[in-house]
Amino acid sequence: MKQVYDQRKIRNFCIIAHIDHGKSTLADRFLEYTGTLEERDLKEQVLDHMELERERGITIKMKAVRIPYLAKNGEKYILNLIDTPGHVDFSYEVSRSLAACEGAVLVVDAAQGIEAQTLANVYLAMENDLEIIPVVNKIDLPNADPEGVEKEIEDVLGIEPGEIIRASAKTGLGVDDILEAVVHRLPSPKGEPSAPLRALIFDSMYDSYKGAIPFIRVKEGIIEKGHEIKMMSTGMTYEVNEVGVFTPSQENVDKLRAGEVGYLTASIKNVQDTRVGDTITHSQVSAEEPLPGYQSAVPMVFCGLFPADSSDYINLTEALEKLQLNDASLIYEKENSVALGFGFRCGFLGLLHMEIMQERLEREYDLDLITTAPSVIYKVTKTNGEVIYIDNPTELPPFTEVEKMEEPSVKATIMVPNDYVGPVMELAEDRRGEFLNMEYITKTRVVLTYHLPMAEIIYDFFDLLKSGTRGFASLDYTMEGYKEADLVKVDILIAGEPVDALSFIVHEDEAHSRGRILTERLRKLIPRQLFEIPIQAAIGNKIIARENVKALRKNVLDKCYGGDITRKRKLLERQKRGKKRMKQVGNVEIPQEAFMAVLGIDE
Amino acid sequence: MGLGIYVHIPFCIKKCNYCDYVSFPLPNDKRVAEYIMALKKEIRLWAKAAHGDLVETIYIGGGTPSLLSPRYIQSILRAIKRNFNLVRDTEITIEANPCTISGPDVKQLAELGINRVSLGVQAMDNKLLREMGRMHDADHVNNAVSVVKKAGIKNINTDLIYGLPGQTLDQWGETLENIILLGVKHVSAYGLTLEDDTPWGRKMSQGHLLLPGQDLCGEMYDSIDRALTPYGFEQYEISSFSKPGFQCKHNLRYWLRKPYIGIGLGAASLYGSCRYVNHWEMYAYLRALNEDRLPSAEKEELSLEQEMAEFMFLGLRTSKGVNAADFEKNFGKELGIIYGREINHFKELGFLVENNENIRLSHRAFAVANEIFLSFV
Repeated sequence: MKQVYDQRKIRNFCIIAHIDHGKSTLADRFLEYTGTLEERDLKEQVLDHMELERERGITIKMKAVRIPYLAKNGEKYILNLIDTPGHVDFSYEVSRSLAACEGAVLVVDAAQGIEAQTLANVYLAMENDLEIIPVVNKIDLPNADPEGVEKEIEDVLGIEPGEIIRASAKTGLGVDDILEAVVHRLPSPKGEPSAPLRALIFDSMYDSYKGAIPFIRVKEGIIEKGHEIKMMSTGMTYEVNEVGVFTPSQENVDKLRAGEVGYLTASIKNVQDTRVGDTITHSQVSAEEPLPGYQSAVPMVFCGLFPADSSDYINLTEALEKLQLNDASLIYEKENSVALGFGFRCGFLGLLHMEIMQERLEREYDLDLITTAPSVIYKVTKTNGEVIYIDNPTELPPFTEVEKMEEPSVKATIMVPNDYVGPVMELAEDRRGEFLNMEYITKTRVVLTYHLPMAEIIYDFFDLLKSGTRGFASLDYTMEGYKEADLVKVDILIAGEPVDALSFIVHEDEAHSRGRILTERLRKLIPRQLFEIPIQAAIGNKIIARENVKALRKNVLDKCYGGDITRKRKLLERQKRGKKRMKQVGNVEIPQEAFMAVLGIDE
Repeated sequence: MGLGIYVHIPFCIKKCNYCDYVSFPLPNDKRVAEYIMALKKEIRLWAKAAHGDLVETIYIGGGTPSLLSPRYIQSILRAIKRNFNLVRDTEITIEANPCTISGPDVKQLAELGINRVSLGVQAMDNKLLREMGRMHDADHVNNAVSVVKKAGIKNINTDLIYGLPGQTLDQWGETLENIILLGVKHVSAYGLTLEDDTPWGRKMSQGHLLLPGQDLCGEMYDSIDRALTPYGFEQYEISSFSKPGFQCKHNLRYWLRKPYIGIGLGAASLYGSCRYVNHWEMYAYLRALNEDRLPSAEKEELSLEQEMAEFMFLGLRTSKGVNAADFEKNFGKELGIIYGREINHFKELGFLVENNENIRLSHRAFAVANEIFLSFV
């Protein structure tokens, strides 16, 4: 691709928006308006690649696209649009993609107003010194309130009234104004092409022919084919095979220079070696310092993944290996459960990340999975002074050996219409929240801040928050470190046998009620069998809840079908297949759904 | 080994709300005659294969065989007698609907050699009968039994169904009492099972049918034995009760895996180590016979494993159970080696009883027999 390099004509930016506020549609309009893609090429929402992303309306992996733009002043510009994930689980990834930009287009729905995650991301952008272009989108909707939302943006973000652009990504209204603002309001990148190379990795993907492909923003220096490069976090070196840009498909270019955005290939074996936030430099003439802000991915939520059919274990192993090629933040190790057999303990950035991975495993790899209850990482100080971190209730030492337990705590920011403040406060307090602050950002919208145990958020806090406010509340949280708490492990015994996969750690005060809920659910889910099955919840040796599955009373096929025994046999075979899908614990057959009973909230 | 012959008459006046058997309204006489011709053709074709087998039982089922004029029954029985040799005391059963049976007809049937009548009674509660879509009421039943007795046929069975929508334990008890008063020799009692493609099945899947739960059905099941035993009935199979000497020899063939051939639409056969099921569609059935082929839609050559499994889950349906020596004689393998683990497991749980070489279901195992059978398939 022939491209004149002029740093002053480059603009690197991203779009910050809440789910469904129109980010993907706006990105499509940019491509269409600038002629980057013909309308017929535009599969709706080009930037969201994965099927799952489109269904959930969430951008999971960032992509980047180079948009050539002929501005109204007659000058040609190169706009690099870097896509950002919009969910709290991926806040580190967001911060790295922001670090690759000089500006951000903030998209706010004219009917909904600002949401908590949007606000968190705008603050993050401001911390990174990004220029913000506020846009009120969907002004064509009948219930749009552009004045009100503009006022909100001004009040909350301290933005001048004249700066806000009204648009409708759906109809194309205001798209040209946004593009002009990108050209005129955002600064061009700085950075010496002659300085030693410093390129920021803001995302990566895996290609089975080319290996791991880092997506980069060159901050200083030049990179081209044949260069020997070094990852500054690990010191690993590679020879560059190819550099290129996204148009939005990958297209080879000669070189990438300071200020430019693109990708490189260098026969890098896996995505773990292209860590988001890492700095690429030349191995011979190295930069002295890496770019600031690098962190390795820290999984926050863990769960066990087991194949429903134990013969699928190998397939699950392969699927996880393949998924990890694409997603460096996924970690896993072998786990062996008495009840569920061989599987994996997997760590995720958050609950959404976990759900997405489970769905991808089931959909793309056609696996039937049993998932155990998600857990946070607990910090356990033993009586002998040793400190251990556990992400699996089964690893908790006997309570006689536990001196104290600590759990991760978050600072949660909840934005909610003032009508719902009462229910939200009630919920937060019920979930062991510690009130920090309440602030009216407009006359009708309130920001509540709480300290909350992370474990409550992954159990049901988020779901209850949504259902309790008719979906109006939005939530953002940041890790705050560990807090001591009176935690206990609750074991579930079925017919007297402890079922390891059903154990969970919970606050002492909630142990009884959660034990009752779970045993009750299990009673409904476990089919009646030839003998009565007691289901107990216990803390140590103390039983805290008990239910019974009555013995089966009748299961007999007594019709005689004129001697059509084949029909009888097939029926028995069908019932037997159904049983095979169940897990055997002692004499009891437990259906898969029972293992899911620990998850989530009441129907 | 002998042979049993089942003949299927797929005609009914109307289909009941729970019925998923192969049946449809009685067509015109020409169609009926055509079907009877086809049955006779099928009998001839089977006779070539089963040449020389002695027929021990004949069972004419349906549908509603009693709808047919006795001359058709005569024609069928003649065809059987012409092509097969019958033992002297062949059990010949016909199924009848209590409201389509008349004195003169039964008399003729008795003269044809029919010595057992199975009445589709289902219940003695008129309201329940109406809801089931049955044509008859309790009076029809009383009348039918006396008509059959008058014709000299002593061996009478009544088919009953329990677990009907809205049925209570007391209502079921009343039905049983009324049946006892009829003085019949045999009672078959089946729990209602609904297939999706029946009016009640559809209603059930939409949640519009209030069926007794398994606890109540279990009570109803247990009450049968309790009600009938004092009057001299013995339970000899999961759903079969009879006075001594009046067990249904034909049905026992199913459970003991003795050969039988099924003649007619959708009829099933066990012959050699093969199971056959005939076409369910009339056109396919008639076409096959027109072309001088046996009209089987499915033929399954049973593997040794399948035969052994059947031996167990069919034999265990009878109150006598299975015999280890018979197993070894049939399959050349020791029962204990093939199924020892399963047998011991259920013995420990109290669901199987071993006595000399016989293994049978314990009394309480009958109601949950499927759970035990499963482990053998």
